[in-house]
Amino acid sequence: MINLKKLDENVNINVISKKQNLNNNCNNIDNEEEEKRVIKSFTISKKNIKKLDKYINENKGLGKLTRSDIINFLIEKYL
Amino acid sequence: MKGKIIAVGNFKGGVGKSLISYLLYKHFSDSYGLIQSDLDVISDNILHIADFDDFKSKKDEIREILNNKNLIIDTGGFYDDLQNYFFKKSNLIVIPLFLDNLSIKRTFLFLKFLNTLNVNSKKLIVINKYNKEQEDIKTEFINYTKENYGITDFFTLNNYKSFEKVINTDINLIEQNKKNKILYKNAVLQLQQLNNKIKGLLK
Repeated sequence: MINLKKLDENVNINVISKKQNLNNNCNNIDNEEEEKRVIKSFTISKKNIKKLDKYINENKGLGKLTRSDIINFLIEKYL
Repeated sequence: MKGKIIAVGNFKGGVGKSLISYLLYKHFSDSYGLIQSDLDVISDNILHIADFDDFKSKKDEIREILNNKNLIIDTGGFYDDLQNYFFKKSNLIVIPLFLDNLSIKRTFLFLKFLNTLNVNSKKLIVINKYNKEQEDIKTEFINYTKENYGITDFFTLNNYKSFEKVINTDINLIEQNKKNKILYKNAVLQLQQLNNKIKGLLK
């Protein structure tokens, strides 16, 4: 059975404002420097940076990654 | 403007925000216009908005929709001030979710977030992809959300596969075709009930 109270208590609202600030401040991510800046601002582990690298590389060929692509990916992984 | 604004949102991806937005828009097109930020659903007459500047440049088109219809905003791709703006401006926020841990957690986060924005819009939680085995958790979730977040309106969709199929099907034609009618009857019925529920909340 899912413990709703526990799930509710583990929610950290500050994460959202952090991500929204980031999104408001960055334009389309179309170069490596911008990617690095976004990744750095999330303070994530080396293992997960590898996952993000993989995600970016896999999607690069399909066209320009937008900021919402990156943000969505980060939110899915880290929220 | 006689139209109302319906924002469809949740911080959990893949719970049916775009699907629900598009199904309502497509099958009740007399009632709704649609704004999307993603380009995953390509169709005529859907207004695509990328960011605030884009939004400002399309204000006249948005007003024109609102003169005649309600406007559904699929906030799927927005994680910024524009999303917050839509939530604040909306008359109703439709919040789809699945009844799994992560989806419920993100929904709580989303509801907390709306509280921090002081969003006073009505809220409708749509429990998507429901199956009978989830009855206990559904009841518990509804009670918990009522008690802790003051949400009073819930709707259950339990025919997910059919919804995906019905996207490209004209429900008026389903009525005329016996085989299709059986296949999609439940999906169409639920969609109509959801539309009625939304209309009721917008009154």
